[in-house]
Amino acid sequence: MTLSKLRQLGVEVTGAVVALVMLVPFLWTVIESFHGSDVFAPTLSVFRPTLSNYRYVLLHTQIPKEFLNSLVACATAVMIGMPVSCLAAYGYSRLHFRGKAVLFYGVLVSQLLPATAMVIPLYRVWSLAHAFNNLVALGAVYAAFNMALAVLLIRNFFDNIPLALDDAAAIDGCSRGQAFWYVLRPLVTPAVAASAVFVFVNAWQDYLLSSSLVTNSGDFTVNVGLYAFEGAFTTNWGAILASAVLVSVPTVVTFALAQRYLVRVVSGGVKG
Amino acid sequence: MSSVVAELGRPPKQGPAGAPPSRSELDRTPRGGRGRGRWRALGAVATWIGPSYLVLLAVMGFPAAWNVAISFFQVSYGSNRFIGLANYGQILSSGQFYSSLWLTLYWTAGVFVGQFLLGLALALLFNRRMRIARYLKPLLIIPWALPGIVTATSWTFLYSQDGLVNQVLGALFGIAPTWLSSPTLAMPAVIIAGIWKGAPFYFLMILAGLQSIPKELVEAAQVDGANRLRVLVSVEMPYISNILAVTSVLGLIWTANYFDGIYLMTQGGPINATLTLPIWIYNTAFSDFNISEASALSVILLLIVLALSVPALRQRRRA
Repeated sequence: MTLSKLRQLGVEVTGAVVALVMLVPFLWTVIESFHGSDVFAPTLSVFRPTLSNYRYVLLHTQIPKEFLNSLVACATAVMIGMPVSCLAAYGYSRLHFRGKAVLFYGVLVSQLLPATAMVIPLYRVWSLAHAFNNLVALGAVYAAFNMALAVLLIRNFFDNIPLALDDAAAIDGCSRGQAFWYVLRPLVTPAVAASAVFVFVNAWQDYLLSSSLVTNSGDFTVNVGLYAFEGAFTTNWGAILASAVLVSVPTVVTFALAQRYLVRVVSGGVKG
Repeated sequence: MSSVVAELGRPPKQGPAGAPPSRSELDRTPRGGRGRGRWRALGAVATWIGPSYLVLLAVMGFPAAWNVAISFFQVSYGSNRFIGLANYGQILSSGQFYSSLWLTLYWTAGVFVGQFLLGLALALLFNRRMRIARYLKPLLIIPWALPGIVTATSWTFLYSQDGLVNQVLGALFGIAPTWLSSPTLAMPAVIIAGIWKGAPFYFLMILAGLQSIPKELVEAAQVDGANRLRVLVSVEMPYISNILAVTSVLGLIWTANYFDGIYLMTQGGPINATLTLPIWIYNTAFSDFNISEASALSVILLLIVLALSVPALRQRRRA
C-alpha cells in the first residue's frame, strides 16, 4: 500500500520535472524578459522583476502596430476560410455528382503543396498583380493554405449527421440552402470553431509567406517585424525577448484554452 | 504540421469523397426534364464547391502553373528571354544542389528520430496513471504552439556566447562552444531546437493512440509473462502502427520543408552549413536576386514533395 503510493508519487514528480525541463527553453525567455536590459547577469539571486522591457517595446517600437497587422491578416484568413470551407464541406458530404472524387482529391493535393515551394510562385504572381503589402491578400493566402484542413474537419462532422435531418427539413419545405443554414450549420459549429483555431494559429506562426509578400516595413506582420527588430538591435536582448513573449501570447493562450477539445476533434478519427 | 493534422482528421477506411450511403429528400429531382436537372446540379456544385476552388486556384493552382511556365525564361532587367531548360541545367550542375539535398536529409533524419523518440518517451510516461497530467499536458504543447520566430529567438538566446547552454556547459565541463557560428555545430544546434519544437505533436498523437489500446490486451500479455519492453514492442507498437505510419510519413515531409526555424536562427549559414533546399530557394530569390533559378528550384522541390507524398496519400486511402 505505502509502496504503491510512494511509486505513484514518483510518477507524479517525474511527470512534473519532465514537463518543467521541456519548458526551460521558453521559460528562460519569459523569465529573462522581466530582467531589465542586463539579461546575461549570471545569477538569479539579484533578480528583481521589472516591466521596463515591455514598456519599451509597447511605447517605442513598431511591434504593437505590427501586432495589429498580423491580426488583420489572420482574421481575414478565418473570415474567408470558414464560410468557404463550410460550403465545400457540405458539398462533399451531401451532393452527388460525377467528378466529386476528383475535386476532393484536388483539395487533398493542395494541402501537400508546401509553402516553401509555393513562395516563389506566389511572389511572381504578386509582382504580376501588384498585390504586395496587401494584408487582405495575405489573409487569402493563409485561407488557401489551410483550406484542406478545414474542409476535412468540417466534412467529417457533416458525414456524422444523419440524413434523416435533411429529410425532415425537406418535408417541412426547406430548400437546400435553408436546410443547410437552419438545420445543419448549427450542428457543425464545433468543427468550424476547431478549424478556425487551427487556421488562426497556423497563420499567426507564418514567417515565410509574409516576409516575401509584404515588402513595406509599415505593413510587416509581427513575425517579420520581430526578426527585423532583432537584426537592427542585436544587443538589446531584453526588448527582443519581451517582444518574443508578446508574439507568442495569441497562439499559446488559444492552444492552452482549446487543447483538450482540439485533440478530441482531431484525433476522433484515428482510433486503432 | 497542418497537413499531418488534416490527414489524421480523416476517418480511416473511407474513400476520399467519403460519400454518405444514401440520399436525402433534398436530392429528389424536381419537375422538369433531364437537361434542366443537370443544369441545376451544375449550379449546386458551383455554389457549394465553387468558392473553395476559386480560392485554391487563385492562390495555389495558378501561381504553381505560372511558375512552371516562367521557369523556362531568363528574367533580366525586366525583359524575359526564353531559354528552355537552362535554369534547370544550371541547378543540376551546381554542387550546391547536391550539398543542399544532403543537408536536407541530415536535418530531416535528425529531427525525425529525435521528435519520434522524445514524443514516444513522453507519451509512455504520461500514459501512466497520473493525477497532474491534465495540468501538465497543456504546458507540454507550448513548444508546438510557438511561432517559428519565437522558437528561433529563444534558442538563439540559449545558444549565445554567454547564454544558458554555455553557462551550464562552462560550469560542468569548462567549455563554451560557439554554437550557431560554428559550421560543424550549427546543424546539430538547429536540429535540437527543431526536435524541441515538434516533439509535442508526436507526443499528442502517440498518446491518443496508446490510450485507445484495450487494457485487456496489455493485461493478457502481462499474464503470459511479457515484461514492459516486450509489451511495448510486441503489443502496443503494432496496435498503433497505423497512427505511427501516418504521423511519421507526413511529419517527415513537413520537416523536410521546414523553413522558419532554421532560417531565423542561421539564414542557412555559417558557410552554408544549414542551407537546406527550402532556404536555398529563398536565398536564391531574395539574397542573390536570381528569381528565374529560384522558380526552377521551386518546381524541382514541388516535384520531389509530390513524388514522395502522393503515394503516401494513396497508401492511406487503401489502409
